[in-house]
Amino acid sequence: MNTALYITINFLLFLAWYIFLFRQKGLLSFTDRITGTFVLGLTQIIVAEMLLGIVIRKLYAMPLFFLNVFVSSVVLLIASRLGKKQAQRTGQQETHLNVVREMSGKFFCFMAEVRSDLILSVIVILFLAAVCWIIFLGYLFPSYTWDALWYHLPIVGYIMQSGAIQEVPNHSFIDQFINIFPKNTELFFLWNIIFLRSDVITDLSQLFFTLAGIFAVYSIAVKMNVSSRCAIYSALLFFFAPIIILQSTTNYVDIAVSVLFLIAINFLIDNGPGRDGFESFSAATYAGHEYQQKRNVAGIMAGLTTGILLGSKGSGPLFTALLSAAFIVRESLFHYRTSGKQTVLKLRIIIISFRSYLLYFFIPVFIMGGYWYIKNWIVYGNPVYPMEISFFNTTVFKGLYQGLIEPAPQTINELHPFARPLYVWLENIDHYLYDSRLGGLGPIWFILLLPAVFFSAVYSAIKRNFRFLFISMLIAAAFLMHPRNWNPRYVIFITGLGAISFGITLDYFRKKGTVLRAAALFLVAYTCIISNSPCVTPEQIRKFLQLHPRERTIANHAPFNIDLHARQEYGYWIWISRNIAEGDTLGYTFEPLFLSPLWNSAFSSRITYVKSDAYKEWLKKLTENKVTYILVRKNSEEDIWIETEKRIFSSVGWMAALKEKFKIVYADDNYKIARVMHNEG
Amino acid sequence: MKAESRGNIICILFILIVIAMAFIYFMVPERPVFIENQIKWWQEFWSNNNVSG
Repeated sequence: MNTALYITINFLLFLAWYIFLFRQKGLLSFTDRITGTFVLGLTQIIVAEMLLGIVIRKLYAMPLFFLNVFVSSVVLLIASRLGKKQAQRTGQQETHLNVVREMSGKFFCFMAEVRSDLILSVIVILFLAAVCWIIFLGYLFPSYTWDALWYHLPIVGYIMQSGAIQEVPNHSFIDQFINIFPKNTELFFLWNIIFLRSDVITDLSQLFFTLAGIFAVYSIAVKMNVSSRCAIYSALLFFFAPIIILQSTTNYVDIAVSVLFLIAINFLIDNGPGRDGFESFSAATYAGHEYQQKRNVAGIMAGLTTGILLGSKGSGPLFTALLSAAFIVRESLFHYRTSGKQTVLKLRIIIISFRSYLLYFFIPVFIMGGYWYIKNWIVYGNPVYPMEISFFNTTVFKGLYQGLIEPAPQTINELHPFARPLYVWLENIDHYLYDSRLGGLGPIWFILLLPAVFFSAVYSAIKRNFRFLFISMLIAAAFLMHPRNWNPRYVIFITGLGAISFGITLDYFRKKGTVLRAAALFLVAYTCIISNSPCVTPEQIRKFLQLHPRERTIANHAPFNIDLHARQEYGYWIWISRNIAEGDTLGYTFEPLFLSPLWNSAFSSRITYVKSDAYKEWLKKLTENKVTYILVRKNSEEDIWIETEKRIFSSVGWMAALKEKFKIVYADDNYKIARVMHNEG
Repeated sequence: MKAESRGNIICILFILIVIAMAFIYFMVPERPVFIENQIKWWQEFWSNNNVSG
């Protein structure tokens, strides 16, 4: 039932937007409609959850399901009307069958391209094998990454237990970050839990972004006038970065941020008449009103994408500022060219460009990402809290931190800023990790893509290919301005530029590029083999295959990245995963290592911090919060209270069983869990 | 013909750069340890598969 609900709503949601965009096929290319469907689907998910979570405060599975069924039905109705209008205009009736026909047509074109190139065929097979492997691992293992357990999944847990997107009480260091972080991507994680009533596939959420990124890179390459075959090379090479392969099975947001940046760039580039790609438009499409309409639609899509990005991570404002500047430049150049380049019109051009910016870009950005910053401004007096914003020694927004919270490793600090990325790209590491700080972009980036970036930049400058120079400058600016650009996971988008550049290079060399294609194949195969992390060992794979799905928990996994810190927590994590049911409330009395394992795997239980200086007050709080189980540290004040209580009642003899307030259900060397008996109290 | 030979030279130069980059990449001191770890991973993978098979 849960799976049926999840599949139905996703099918309906994305199909509705695809059919809607199919009606706009004169305005967006096929791949742009695919990425557009992803962006619009994601927009609907986020807006629906925010509406239910912030305004109505009823963010539960059924209201979310019915709201989305309603929205998707409206979208389908609009698409149907658009189809009728189109039929009246062109005399051609577009049926739903045409949607399937187009899909199958594009698929056969793709297959024809792949079949005509043996090396590309093998790369496609390796790509499919890698995606299957990612899905297998994502399904088999729970979310095991540090930040996922620390705050990405607790954000989801807090929303699911209250049915509301709201501030949580600030009891620990991480609680303040749970409150201040923008949460768009976490709302997508929640989407992949709430219907299934299980967190089993939520760690694959970023895989959707990875696949969208592949389409975006392909689309940008085609817009650079690269042949479709070389564009497929570009798209697939983007995928083969170890950091992308490893992070696709984690609840991190780095792939999402980089891919959204690339998608937004893609929508900002006008789609010129193609050369021989199956994405080509007819020259007639570029005439007059329709062209302007196409620019507006693409602008809105770029705005929505940027808005989702803005609301996904604290670095969102940096990308938003760059994309805003790019939008204004794009509009100004367009109006400058179409206005006959008269000097007197300069002011008018600026006004029109800003009007377009506000209407088609800023408003979607604000709607999709503005809420989190406005909320922080109202609650904490600073939109980017806890970062302090100063301007010429004047504090504009007061915060807790002036610099970076997480300092760079000593090895990096000792290097010149320009040498830092180079050191990281050379990957002086002995293994990969989903957040490997000193490596992760892989050999393809350093060996093939980096030289291709320089080659394509020079070639584009000579050929006056301003589109490529435009995206190069945009991506380079984002890279140079990012305060932690030495860390590969924050700048995954540069592999997008590299992949597009490689497509341009291959296209230039044509048949002579066979050596490069062979090198690409070798490095792709090498990347497939070496993209393993010590967090998922063959021994653990074997063990998990033999375990019952309910037993595939973080404690049974004991991954390398947390094991040393979390060993003493495993006992009570296992007890919680086996015993805490829907409706139970687990109270805790200390700052735990991770909050996420305190919920059950469906996030259908509740957690609450219950602390007090006095026993009676504490008991009152337990009752008020309807705590069914209490987790305490051994020998803590609460443990002493519970033990004293037990001693008193045991002295009463047979009456003890009736009067007992606590029943110890779990105990190890460090922790105890007691069932709280409210009715007897 | 002139353009074609220029194209050939550029292609050869590019390939030489790629070879040089590959050389630099694979010659970093940590690479043998990295490859050794990956070989261990796959050895364990196949031995586990054989045991369970």
